Amino acid sequence: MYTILVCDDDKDIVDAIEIYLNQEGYRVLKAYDGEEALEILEQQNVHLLILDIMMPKLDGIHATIKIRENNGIPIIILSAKSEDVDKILGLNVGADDYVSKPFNPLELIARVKSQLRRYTQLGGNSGVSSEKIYETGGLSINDDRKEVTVDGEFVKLTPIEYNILLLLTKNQGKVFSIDQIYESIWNEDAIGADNTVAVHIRHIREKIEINPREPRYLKVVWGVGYKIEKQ
Amino acid sequence: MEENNRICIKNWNKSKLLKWLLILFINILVLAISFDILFLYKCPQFVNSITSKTDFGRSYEESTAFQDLFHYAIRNVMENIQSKYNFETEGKYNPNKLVDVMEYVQEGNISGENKNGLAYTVDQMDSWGDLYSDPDLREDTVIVCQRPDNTYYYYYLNEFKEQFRSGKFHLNNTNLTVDALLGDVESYLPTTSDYKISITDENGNMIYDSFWRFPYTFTEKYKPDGAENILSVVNHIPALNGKLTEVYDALKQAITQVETELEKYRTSDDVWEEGNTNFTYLLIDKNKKYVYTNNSAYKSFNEVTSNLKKLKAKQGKYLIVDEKLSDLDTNMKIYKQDWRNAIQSYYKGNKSNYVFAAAIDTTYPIQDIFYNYKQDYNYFVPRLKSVIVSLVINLILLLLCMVWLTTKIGQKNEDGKIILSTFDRWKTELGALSILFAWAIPYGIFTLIFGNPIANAIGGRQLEYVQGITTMTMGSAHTYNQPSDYILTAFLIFFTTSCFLVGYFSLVKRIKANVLWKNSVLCHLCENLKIFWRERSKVSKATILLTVFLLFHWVIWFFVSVGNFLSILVLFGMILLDIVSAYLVIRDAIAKRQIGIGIEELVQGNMEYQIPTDKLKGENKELAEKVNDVAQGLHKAVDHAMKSERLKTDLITNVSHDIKTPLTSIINYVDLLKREDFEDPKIQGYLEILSEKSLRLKTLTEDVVEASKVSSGNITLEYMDVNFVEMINQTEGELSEKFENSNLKIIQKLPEEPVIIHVDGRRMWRILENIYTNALKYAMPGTRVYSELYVQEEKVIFSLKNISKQPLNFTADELTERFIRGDISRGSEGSGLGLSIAKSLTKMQGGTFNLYLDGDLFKVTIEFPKVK
Repeated sequence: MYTILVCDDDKDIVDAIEIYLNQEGYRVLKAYDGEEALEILEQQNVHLLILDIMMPKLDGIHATIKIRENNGIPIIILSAKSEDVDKILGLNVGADDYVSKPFNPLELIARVKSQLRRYTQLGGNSGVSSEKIYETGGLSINDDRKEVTVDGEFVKLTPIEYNILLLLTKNQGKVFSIDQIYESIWNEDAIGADNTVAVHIRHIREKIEINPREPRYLKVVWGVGYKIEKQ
Repeated sequence: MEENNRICIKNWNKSKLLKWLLILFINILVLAISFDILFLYKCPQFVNSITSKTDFGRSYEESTAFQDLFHYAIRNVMENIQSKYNFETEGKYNPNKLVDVMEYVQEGNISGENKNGLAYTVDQMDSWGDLYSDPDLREDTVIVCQRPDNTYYYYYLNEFKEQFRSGKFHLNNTNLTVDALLGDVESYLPTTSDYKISITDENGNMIYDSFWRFPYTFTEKYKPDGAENILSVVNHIPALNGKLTEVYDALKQAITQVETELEKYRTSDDVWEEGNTNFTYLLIDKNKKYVYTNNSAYKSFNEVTSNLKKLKAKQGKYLIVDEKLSDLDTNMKIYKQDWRNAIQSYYKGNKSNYVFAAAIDTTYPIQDIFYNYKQDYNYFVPRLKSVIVSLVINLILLLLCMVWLTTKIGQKNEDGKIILSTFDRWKTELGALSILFAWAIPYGIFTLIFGNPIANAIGGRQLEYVQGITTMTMGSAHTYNQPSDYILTAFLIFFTTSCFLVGYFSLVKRIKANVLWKNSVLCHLCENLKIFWRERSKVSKATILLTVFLLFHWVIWFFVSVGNFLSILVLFGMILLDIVSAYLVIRDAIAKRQIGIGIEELVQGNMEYQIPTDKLKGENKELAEKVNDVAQGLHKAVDHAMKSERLKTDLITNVSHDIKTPLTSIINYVDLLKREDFEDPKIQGYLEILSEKSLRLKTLTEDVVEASKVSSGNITLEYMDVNFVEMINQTEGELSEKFENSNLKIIQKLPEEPVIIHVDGRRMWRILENIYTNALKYAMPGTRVYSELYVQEEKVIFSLKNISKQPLNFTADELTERFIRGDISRGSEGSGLGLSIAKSLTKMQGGTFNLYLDGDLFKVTIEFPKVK
């Protein structure tokens, strides 16, 4: 059983999160400011930290910096600050994920699960066999078995979705336009513009991403095409 | 009423016709007057004789005109004879003939003998030339010495000094030395005898009472006949003693006289020679027993008496002048005394020993000047009287006509105002000039083609007789003028008169209507000058400077053209002024450019730019400083506005953070509540509403922050080349399921080739998402949504059309500017800020965003510049 420390100056939020996490079977520790969180971390064995930024005494950013001095546990920042700048800052100082308030509880749980899998199974997949495996971050495609896993969870894809994901994952970081994807998957000339590919992409994203609007793996480069982010 | 009108028209027509007839009449009068004057002009020699003496009714031979010409011929002939006598020896010109100066001056004769002691040859006198010597030429200075017996002796200055040096002369009554006295003749030696200094000889005997300087000097170009110089002549001939002044004057006069007389002699012609004239003359010199005549038949001296009888017997007029007045014989009616005196004065020889006879053959076998004069006389004189009478009558008639027309001209309208024609309304000077040109140009062309008929008519045949130096012009025109000359002249006069009348009547009308001055260019000019003067403070310094500059140049032009010696000085001034002006103008231009750059920077939005003012002067400096002030003011204002905008955005952002925290709890606990199993459907309904509204609150807070940021421009854009077609496809792909769920069908009309625009891809997605979402929310289910992309030369136009499910009872502005205007929200979903955000983002990226509402048709159009 994993222990998760939730730290927020708003007691109600902490309580709500506790309820959700308890329902998923996690043990929850509660803190209401940064210093308290640091104390608990020293005393207890914690597997994941959910941290607010705007807190009295020690804010989330500084707390994260402190923690990262000697601790590698997953940190999910949960903040009302939803600007890009805030997210970038949070991730840069050492947080593993960033969820902005108000949040969807299910999304938060999904992210917690994802982080815990990554944390506990860290490096588990590397060099296991000589099978054809393409992976980036928590996304892994085994082309021999035609299996796709995200953070260890199997994902069901249609053949076209699989082929599109495989094409993008094989060429991580490269941007494919709709026409290029169409031509290589359907093996015919892309006559005129069509949103078929875009629809497939959205379906893939809905399957492999926790929040399809803020994808971690399959990203939209608007007006250019799609790519799998190299991680 | 009608009757009345008809009468008016009748009267009007009558007066109009009368006027035109009068104008025609005036033209005819002018023509008649012109020809009268022309006639009078051509017979001037007769006009005189007719007005002073009465030649009327007389034949030509009895007229004074004939007598005048006869007299003229006699004088001419006599003078010719005199000069022949003077300059000829044995019928030939003799340049070495001696001219006795005193005799020549007193009597006019050159006898060839030196009678009075001072004589030069004709040639010497003719080539004497300049009479006066340089006053500084001291060799010619003459000293006058007075003897005790009041006779005089003249010395040249050198001669005089020599007498002292050789010891013959000694000075008396003075302390001055000779050298001192004579050293500077001009300053010391007086020109009068008041200064008594006597001269004694070596023995002390008084030689001269006093001496002085002769007041002027005379250049002796030639030596007199038989003497060394003039002084020796004067000193040794008792008659001339002490008369140096008279001698000099006589010599001068003689020289001038010889020159003019020689000129006459040389240029005399053969008008009065035998066969050239009907005039016959005899000058009988009884001393020399010689007859001067132009008739070979009368040459013999011995037959003089019978010849004179013959002369008288011939048909014609004659005149014989002998010694006494009683001997004067003539068949003309003349004042014998006057004629005799006159003729004697022409003859310089011995008065008592000659007979002069002259006659004119009035049968005129030769067509000479007498013949011509007779022709003219017979033509002009009988007509002269009637011409003068007609001239006077015509003039009076013309005057009357003009006066009558002048009073009648200028019709009045009902208001009693003079009716002015279009021409009358022209500016006065313009009217005058146009009349002048309308006259001068055809006139010039006419004379170019036909020559000058007026000059021909006036001139006619002109004979010029040169007799000695007397030039006599005799008009005898009528015989040589062509009728065409008169016709053309008449035409020109008619034309000229017409032009004049047009101008004159217009002038009269203008004066009567009191617009002559008011409607003149000069008047307008004056008015403008008045305004200029009144508003002088407002007229810029530049205009005044320019005026001064131009005036200066005109003045300089005047000086230079006059050729004043100052002109070069002034020219330098002008060049200097030009350089200064050029410098000023260029400096001004540079200053203007600098200010221009400053304003341009300001227009471009660079409000921190300041025009460098340290090198600017005067008005430009003020202007630049003001522009700088404006820039600073704007900068401050914009800065202030930006700051407050940022503050506003910050405020909204911070507030939104504070809202989000409790909102998080609300959403979470509503969610938790929903997980509890409430069986009561009412509670479930309430929870559903809570959940919905809390989520809406969430989007609202997010959108408000975004809208505030976007509208204040408080975001950074990452521009890149984007394929608009791909973008639309991606967007539709993202939203396809939602459209399907809403039972909306998207109809695409996109170009096949990529369409590239330069924008921030993520913001562009936000724009399209908002537009599509709007359609999704408000389109009537079951209808079609049209997305179209057009590519034009310079721009790319995207439009999305849908049929609204609700009536569109608001304006486009109300949709896109809700955030600013605070209008009421229209729907239940979303924040209602989507289109506002889309519009702001479009504008930020250099595009335009338009909404088109027509009935239920809702159309969004966005345009972006095309990337080539």
